[in-house]
Amino acid sequence: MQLYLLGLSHKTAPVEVREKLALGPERLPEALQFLRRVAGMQEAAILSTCNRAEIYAVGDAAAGARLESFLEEFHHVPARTLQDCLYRGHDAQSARHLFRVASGVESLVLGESEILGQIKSAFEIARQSGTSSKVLDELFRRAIACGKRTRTESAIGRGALSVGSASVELAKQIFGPLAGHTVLILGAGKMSARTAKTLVDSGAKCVLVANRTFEKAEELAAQFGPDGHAVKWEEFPQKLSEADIVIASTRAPGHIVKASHVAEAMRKRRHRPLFLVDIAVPRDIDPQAHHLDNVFVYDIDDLQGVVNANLAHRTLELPQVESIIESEVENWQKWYRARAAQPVMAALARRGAQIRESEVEATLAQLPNLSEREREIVKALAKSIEGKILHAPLRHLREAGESGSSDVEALQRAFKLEETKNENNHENSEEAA
Amino acid sequence: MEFLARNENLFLTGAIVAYLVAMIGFWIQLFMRADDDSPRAERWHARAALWGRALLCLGVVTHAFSLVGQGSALLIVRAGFAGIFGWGLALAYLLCGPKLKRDSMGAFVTPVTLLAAFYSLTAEPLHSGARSDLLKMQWTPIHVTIIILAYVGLAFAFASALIYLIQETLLKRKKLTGLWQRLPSLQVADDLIYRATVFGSALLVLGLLTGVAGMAQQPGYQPMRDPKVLVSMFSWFPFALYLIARWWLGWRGRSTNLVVIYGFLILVISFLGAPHVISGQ
Repeated sequence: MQLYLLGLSHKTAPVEVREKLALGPERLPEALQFLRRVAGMQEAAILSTCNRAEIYAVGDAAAGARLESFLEEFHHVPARTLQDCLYRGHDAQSARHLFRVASGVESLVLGESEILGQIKSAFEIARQSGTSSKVLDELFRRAIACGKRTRTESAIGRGALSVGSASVELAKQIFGPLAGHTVLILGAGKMSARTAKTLVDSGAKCVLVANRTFEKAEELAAQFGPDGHAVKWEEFPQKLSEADIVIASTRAPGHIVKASHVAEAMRKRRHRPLFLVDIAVPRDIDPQAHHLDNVFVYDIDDLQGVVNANLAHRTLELPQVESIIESEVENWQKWYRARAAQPVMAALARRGAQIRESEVEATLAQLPNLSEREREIVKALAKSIEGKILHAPLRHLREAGESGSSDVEALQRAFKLEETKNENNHENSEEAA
Repeated sequence: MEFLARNENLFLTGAIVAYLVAMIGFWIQLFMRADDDSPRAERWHARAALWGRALLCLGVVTHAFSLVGQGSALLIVRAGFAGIFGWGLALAYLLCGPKLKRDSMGAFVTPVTLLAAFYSLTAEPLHSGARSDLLKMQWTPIHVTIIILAYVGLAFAFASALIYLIQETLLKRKKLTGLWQRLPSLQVADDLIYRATVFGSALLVLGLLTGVAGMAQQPGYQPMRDPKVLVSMFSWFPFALYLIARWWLGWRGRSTNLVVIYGFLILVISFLGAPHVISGQ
């Protein structure tokens, strides 16, 4: 039995190809059952996001070879379309890849944490569909743990990587907690709405929206519920004094927020700090306003600078993240290899117990006058001898299994445990059926 | 008691060493690897801050032995006053620091503590002989306690104002390195400055009044001709200016917080220079 990986991602396939293999959560159980029934996989899980489609499956070599035809048959995509986009892996390669994905190393936005939730969801669906068992259970559990560990022990997931979250980071350094602060949006564009939403999600309370077309301002304000209020365009200079954070994103050809507007607003707001985010090009806010006391004007380049610095920080964390992943892969390999030794260990322990029981029985039959206590002592003695004799070979078997040594087979032969192999194969074929 | 009195200088020297190492710990926590915000660096910074706090605790305990050893005379000797102030400031930081949830304040408070303790070790006890009769007056401990609390409050305002200025400069220059995230937000620093200044300046007035009330019991005393009263009023003026600007004009931010910094420096200069003014040097 081997662990197989087959997939494509934003790194290997354009969106036109990725969308053909995209599967929503409602279709995943069907695809998983198809993999089991048609491709003959014992275990299977599918990770399908907007940036990747990956199959993790456990099966024999023949099933592994059928994996690619699954894509053709289930998705009705010609094999030649996918040929150059697919990557494949087995055993440790597959585990390493999933650990990297869980750590955000393979993500479009380095270190993003959304992928961890998507992996959890893929695992949950596979479990509910009954296609995840011993190997995939352990693989996904370890991948999720690895993703969490990399984010705890390194800074791969730290720092804002979008204009919206960079604005929140800055606003928090000016105001502390954002609860109760007012946001004024100038221009009802998508970008300003998204930035304002990030601020509201972080605790900002009241949202004022000013737009040249009042209806659009009302529409956007309605998105923020009872805390959203539309403001007439001519009134925005007066409203500046009520706002703590101003987001400007209009298509005006020049500065619509003059330094004099800001100075007047500062006087009215008794010089409480004012944070102005200018994401328009050309700029909406006069940069001279930044020189006023307690006024902080950040334009799109400044915010992009914050994002770039954070990204550079994350990139610097890569060597540490890689070393965490490698240590997790090593642990996984030990567990994975040790699986091969487990039936042999169980058989050896069983054989030991059989011999002990038969010998104790024969001995006790020759000593009928023993009291109950003396009989218990004989049984304990036999158990102790069995334990001491088997301790070293069992430990050696476990270590041999973890390192992938051929000693497992040698010990199997030495203790005449060959039949366990056959039993094991029989169990596997039953499970597959 | 006798043992403490005999070894007061030794205890004070020990406290100074502890304060110095604590200060280095807090500086390492704040300024070293400022660009690194990884969990590794965070653990490293947390360890440095922990060492800083532990040594500050040790300094406070050792310093307390020294103060007890100095006896009640330290209440009227300038060097003694500086010693109690430094000790009180360190103790206040240890008590309030966890509530502020910012170790960064330690980097600004410990140097003031260290300088005060160092001054108390090296300064000449200028008035110990001349004004020993003050000890007999009941109001002296009350007056000194109030003034020390006022100084501690204003020292906190000074430290917060320094933090505010650094944070504001980073935000204005758009130099958003690791240091800016380790400092409190502008709003938090501004609130601290305001509260500490209100507390400190109110107690400074109260201390001045208790001082004048006590001295007024002496026949022929005229407060407005007492250089000590005049110097105290002069050093109180910048804080009054700050509060007036904030209450009536609504000013806040860089320039008003600079007034607090100048105010504390004037307070220190007045404290060091008052004896010379009084003795007519």
